Amino acid sequence: MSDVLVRCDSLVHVYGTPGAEVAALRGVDFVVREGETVALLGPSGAGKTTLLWHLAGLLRPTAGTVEVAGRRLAGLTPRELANVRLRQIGVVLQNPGRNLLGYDTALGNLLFAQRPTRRSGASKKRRAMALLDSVGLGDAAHRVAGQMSGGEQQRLAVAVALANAPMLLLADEPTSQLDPVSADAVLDLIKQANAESGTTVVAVTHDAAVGDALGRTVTIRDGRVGAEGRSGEDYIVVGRDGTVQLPPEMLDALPPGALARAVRHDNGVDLRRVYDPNAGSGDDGRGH
Amino acid sequence: MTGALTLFRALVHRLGTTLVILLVALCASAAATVGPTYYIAAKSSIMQDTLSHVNVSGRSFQVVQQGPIQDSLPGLEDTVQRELLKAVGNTATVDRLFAPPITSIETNVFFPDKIQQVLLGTRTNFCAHLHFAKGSCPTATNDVVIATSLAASNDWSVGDKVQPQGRPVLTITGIYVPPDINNNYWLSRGATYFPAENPFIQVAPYDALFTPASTLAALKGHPQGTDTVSRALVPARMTSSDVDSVAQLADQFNTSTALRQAQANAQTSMDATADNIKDSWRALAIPVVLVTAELLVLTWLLLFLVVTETVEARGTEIALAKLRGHSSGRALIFGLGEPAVLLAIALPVGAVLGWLLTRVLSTVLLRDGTHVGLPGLAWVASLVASIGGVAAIALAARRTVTRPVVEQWRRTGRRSTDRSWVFDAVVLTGAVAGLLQLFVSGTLDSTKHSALALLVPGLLGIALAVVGSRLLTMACRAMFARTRRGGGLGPFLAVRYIARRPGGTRTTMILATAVALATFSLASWSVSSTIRSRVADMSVGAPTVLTVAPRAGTDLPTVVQRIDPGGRSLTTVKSFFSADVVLLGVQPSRFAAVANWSGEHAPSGSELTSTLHPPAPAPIRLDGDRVRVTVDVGNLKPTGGELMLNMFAPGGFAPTPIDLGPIAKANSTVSLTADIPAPGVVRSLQVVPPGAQRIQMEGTVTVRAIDVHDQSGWHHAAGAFADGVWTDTQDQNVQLDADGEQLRWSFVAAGGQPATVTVHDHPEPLPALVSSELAGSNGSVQATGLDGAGVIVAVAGRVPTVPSAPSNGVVVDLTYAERVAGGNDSPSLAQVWVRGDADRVVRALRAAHVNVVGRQSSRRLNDELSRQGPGLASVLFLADAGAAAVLAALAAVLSLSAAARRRRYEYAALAATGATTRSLYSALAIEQLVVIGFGSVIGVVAGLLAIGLAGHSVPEFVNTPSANLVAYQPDAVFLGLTLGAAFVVLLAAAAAAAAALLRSVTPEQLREAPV
Repeated sequence: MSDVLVRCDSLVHVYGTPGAEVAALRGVDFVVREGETVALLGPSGAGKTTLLWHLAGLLRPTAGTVEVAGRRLAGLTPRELANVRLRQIGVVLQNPGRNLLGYDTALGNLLFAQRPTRRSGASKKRRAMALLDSVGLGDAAHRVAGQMSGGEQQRLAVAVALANAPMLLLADEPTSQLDPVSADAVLDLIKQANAESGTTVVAVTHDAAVGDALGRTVTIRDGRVGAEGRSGEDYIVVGRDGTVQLPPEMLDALPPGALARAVRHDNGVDLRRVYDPNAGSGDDGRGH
Repeated sequence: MTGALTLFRALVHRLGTTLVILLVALCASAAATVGPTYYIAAKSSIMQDTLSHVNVSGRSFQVVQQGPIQDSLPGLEDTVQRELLKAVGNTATVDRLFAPPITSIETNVFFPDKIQQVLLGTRTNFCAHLHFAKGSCPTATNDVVIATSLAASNDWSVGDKVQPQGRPVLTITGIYVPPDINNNYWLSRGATYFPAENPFIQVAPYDALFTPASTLAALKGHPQGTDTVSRALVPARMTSSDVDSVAQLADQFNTSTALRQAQANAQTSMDATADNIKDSWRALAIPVVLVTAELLVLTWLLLFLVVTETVEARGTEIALAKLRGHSSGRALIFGLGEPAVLLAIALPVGAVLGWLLTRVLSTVLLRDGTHVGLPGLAWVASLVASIGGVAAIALAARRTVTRPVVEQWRRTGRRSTDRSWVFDAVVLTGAVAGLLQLFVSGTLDSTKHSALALLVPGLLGIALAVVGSRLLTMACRAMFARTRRGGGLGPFLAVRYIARRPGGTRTTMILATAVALATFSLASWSVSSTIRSRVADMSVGAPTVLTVAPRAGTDLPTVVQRIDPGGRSLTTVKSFFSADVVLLGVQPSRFAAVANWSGEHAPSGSELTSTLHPPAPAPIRLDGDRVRVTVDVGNLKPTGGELMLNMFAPGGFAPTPIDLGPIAKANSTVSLTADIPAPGVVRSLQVVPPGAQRIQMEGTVTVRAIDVHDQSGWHHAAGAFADGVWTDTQDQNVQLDADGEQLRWSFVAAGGQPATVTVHDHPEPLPALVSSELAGSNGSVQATGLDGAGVIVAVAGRVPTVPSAPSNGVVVDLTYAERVAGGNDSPSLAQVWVRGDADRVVRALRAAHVNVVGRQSSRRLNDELSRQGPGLASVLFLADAGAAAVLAALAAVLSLSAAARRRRYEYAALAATGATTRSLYSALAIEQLVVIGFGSVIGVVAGLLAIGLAGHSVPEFVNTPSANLVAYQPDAVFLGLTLGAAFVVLLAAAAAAAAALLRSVTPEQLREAPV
């Protein structure tokens, strides 16, 4: 089994001022191994982006820890954190335009991303041109980013995120606001980076196609990891405190507030709804 | 390289903002540069102006040694050179500061047959400075040149040989035209050599004879005379740093033992000139420092505001840099690179712009030809101005480093308590403390003039702005509920934006302070230019005043009448300046029309005539060569007295007594005849006791006729027995009865005094219009008449200021003043006052043989006053405050635009939900109107308050003028129009910025929604 690249333990994040707090993450346990591609799914406000920002070292946990490549991000100095972002993490933000310097050229944006590295200028430029070729923008090196289409901007954004060959690529809604053709192209780029460079990918998305395209899905609900999907099948994730989140489609059988009886088996637990706790054991008293 | 390219692209991308920052930074640097650059140039201008206007004694020295004149000059020259070196330092400096020495040797010679004493002298290279009407320069021993006046009066011509008493025969080789005695060559000796050209003619005026030095060296008998060594400053070679040396030179001469031992004394007022220059510099220096300091503080605040806004606006890009792993330092360089580069560009370019601006200012305000350099001090000031931007960068950098990336994306602040009141409290306390200090120290005392008063508008503006901006926020919050209930979306949004706008206090403070400065300086400039103009008008007296020296026998009023028959553009004025009072003899009707009067106090010609010229008998003229007086002698005790007639002859210093002879016995009729020296007027008749005994005389004499003899025979003197023409001025119990045919004269004269009756041809005392500062409580003023003798005038009217002598002038009728002086007005200064084309008048006067020896004009004096320290400071203050107002306006517009730009997402959302562009524009317009209007109103109020509190303390002149000329009331129309126009421009700029901003609001911006 490959090494763990990302580990979140009991990650809690609370936004707001005293007296008006909102818990975005409520104890997330989350692991990503090197070379994995993970899609973070979940409804709006579930905490996906907050989790992604934690992985990028942009937020400090209210409680819990986040480790990337074995280093606890909250313990790093600003310089160390910048270095981690430079060499180990590439980030694609939600809006294509926000990933780029709109007034600079495609090439300029890639060079800007590489500026802190100690490689030679020529090396940086070669790398930039190679990336532009790989995202299909080889001919657009000198076009101003702000004047590109949304799809081109997003491909350029991915190229910029990959400029310093990060171990971990974090992408926030990489295909939103894109037409299907552009979305597919971006998705192919992400998969290509994973396949060719072994880049670990964590992408926040509402797009089922992205979820399907990546190796694993992790569904965040109400600030917790609610489910994981692997190879087309979804699994409930049992939390550190024993909590589980039922998939929404099962809530009609066990709606919020319903009583259920947990029945242990050799390899798990059955949950059965109980309408009248006084009616007896082993059954709900009404049958199915 | 790629970083530079990115930076360049960013600057181009944000071209509007780039230009505004560049403009503000340029203005800051330029404005800071102007003060020192202007000061250095103005110092030179003041120095050159002072030197060019000072009299010759103020810009040269003359060492005079009296005694034997042979072989004494070389020793005197050596002594003077040694003293010069002691004071100035070295020969090179002496030769740079001074023109080559001019030496002279002079002695007096006497022509007994002509009864004329004339100066015979030689002077370095004198022939080059004389224009010969006839003949040529004397080159041989005992050759001389004489003046045209001497030649004319003695009928001498070239080739004549003349012999002064006890001297060798002199040969006249040339006749020269008297030169301009103000020429630098003649220095202080001009009046000595050419007394005939001096309007103050005291003695028989004969211009000097010039001869080669060998003539004087060959004189026998150890002639006595005067050696002089003179040197004149060369202003063009002087720098500001030489002024102290010049002052020191005067001290050196005054305390020189060597000169004392040589029995020589130095005559110069160069020390007074140096003091005058330094006084003017001081009057300029303090305002320059204060104005520049205030401006620097203002520019710092502006740069801080601008740079902070810019960095804030780039928050997302800085966050992106951090996200890409740029270290804090790199993120700083990236984020702050743009303003830093703009500041770096602005520093030198702004300094050069400031220099160019100063050159323009100097062309208009300073003396022609004044060199305007870019001194090191100006670079320092520009650098100091830029430090404000650097400080802003440093503060913005702190925020950039410490602010998390996510906050920069979200454009929200971290949780923090509002501590802006601390800043406000500190600023308010400082401003109030400063104001109190100014009051307590007496700086604002109305009797003092201190440039520190210039701090008042800034401090008041800041204090009022701090309080006012807090009140504005409170007022807006109070409007929340009302705008919620109705009034539309515009007011609803506007009051909330104002109440919650970050940096609102800063904008109001900067705007109010700048507007306060602008208001104060506009008002101050308006006041000072009005006062200056009034001082110039009243000090000179008329648009142009010509000092003249009419040729003997030329009647100036007649010439004036001929040139200006209408009496509206020319008048004759004769003045006598004494220590306390200036007496002006004027032609009332003309004077009323030509003189400069202060405002509503201008009298009409008829008013002035009726005030100054009440009817009086005409004088009794004796225009002939003999006089005859026929008298009936009644009882006379004792008998045998002499009948004397006293008359005034032109140019005489006192009445000329004419002894008519004894009136030997009582009850007889005698006709007494005597020669008269020159035509003139009768002053008095006297009966002198016989043998000049000190006894009492009594008697009655009837004068039957006064006749005068001329080429056509004997005639009665006109008006000799006119009504009221004779009067008893000696209080001798005289009874007079003049019936038009004869004068019956009874008298009792005690104590050996002659019995006297005096011709009463003028009012006694003379009625006068006097300056209100002079008017005595008893209705009379002691003055000095045109003849230099004391005279008491009766106050017939008062004016706040008298033309040409604002605080101590006494205006009397010229005709009567001349009669009082008995025709002897030579000690007075003759002038022709002109309103209109002075050049034409000068030509006409010269054609009428009236030499014009001096010229003043009120416009020129106004220019000179404008170029003195306080005048130059007030213009500098105006220019700098104008720059400050422009800067503040830019900053206000930029601040408002930046604040609005940050709300573009909000505007886009409102537009998407149905808010009309008109509503949004209305919200923005109301916000801008309130913020700009409020700041401007506070500024105007502070500026006007400052004028009331400190306007009178701002130095307006180096020498304080008459209090009656000073009024601290700015021109309300000028002030209102200027400030109103500035406000409209400011609002228009803000409205244009708002319109441009709202045009760029599109629903697409909603895609940039904060996460």
